[in-house]
Amino acid sequence: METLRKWIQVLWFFLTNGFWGFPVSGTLYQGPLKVLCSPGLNCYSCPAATTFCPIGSLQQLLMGVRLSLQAGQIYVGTYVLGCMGLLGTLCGRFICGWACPFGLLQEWLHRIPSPKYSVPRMLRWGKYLVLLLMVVVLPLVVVDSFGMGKPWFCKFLCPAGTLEAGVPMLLLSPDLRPAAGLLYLHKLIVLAAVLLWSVVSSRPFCRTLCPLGAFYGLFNRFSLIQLKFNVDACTKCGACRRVCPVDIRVEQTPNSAECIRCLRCCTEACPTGALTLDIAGFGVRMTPGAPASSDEPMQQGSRS
Amino acid sequence: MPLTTETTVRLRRTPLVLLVVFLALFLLGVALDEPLRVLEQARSICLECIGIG
Repeated sequence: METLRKWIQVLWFFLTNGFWGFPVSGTLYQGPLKVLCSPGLNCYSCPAATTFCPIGSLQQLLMGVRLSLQAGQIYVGTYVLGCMGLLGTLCGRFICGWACPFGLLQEWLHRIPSPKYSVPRMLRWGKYLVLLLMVVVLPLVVVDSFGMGKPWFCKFLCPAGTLEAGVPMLLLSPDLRPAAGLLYLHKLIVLAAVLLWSVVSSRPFCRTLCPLGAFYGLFNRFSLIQLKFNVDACTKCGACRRVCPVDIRVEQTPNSAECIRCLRCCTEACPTGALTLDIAGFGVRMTPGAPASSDEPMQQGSRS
Repeated sequence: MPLTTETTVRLRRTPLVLLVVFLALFLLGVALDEPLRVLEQARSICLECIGIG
């Protein structure tokens, strides 16, 4: 199952970054597919990007909301928020585990042999602050004399944008190089810090800073894809906790907002089938001996 | 177990409500031509967003 997940992650990388003619064209993909929402964090200024980044687009709409309203256009982010909400309700953070290119990169980096460290639990709140402040509040509130805000998250934090767009665009367009100054250096440092952190910790950006992960995490308890825990089948061996890449107490909160639905606890760890996947009410047998029906008594995660 | 039944019903109803709400937002955005604005933004390089300028 883990191999399948890796292949699906690679497939999503190429689906959301499918324009490989950019070295010839020297510019971004300009086609109509860019009206589609990328499920994962994937910068739309990446020359290969074929979809829009929900966080980047939401910020762009919010920072320009005053100007668009003055022009009689009601661009307040309902389309983007609708896309994000539909994806969140259908999948929750299943997207983080299966369809996010930046998550895949962090997983690959974590395979580099090195000392490994856990991520302090309190840092998980950081991503909600980033979502609230850098994506919503600051772009809306801090505006220049024309009433235009700034894309705070993209501009000052997003390492995916630096890696997928900042670096390639500078390599592709020599004309842009003189414009790269202190801000670009700051973003390179942030990118380097996140990449190095990913070597020693599992998915640190997803767990502490990603606003898209924070948004999808809010849906984990309600999404159509759920983990179900059969308390009667559990032997409390702790195997699920040991394989979890985001250090969740799976038997206590199987639908924690931190869970990226990699399903390793179901497919690799649990020897008794106490953990099963539930898709829209249908139980999916993941291990031999796991209950296939969703009618059996289950305990669900009650809080994130 | 009545508690389990109640919980199950609530959790199955919630995603349907959320789906309806976000589908309505999505359709409202489409009606307001927001996808065209998103497409326009996504077709151009946001230099500020990638740390240049």
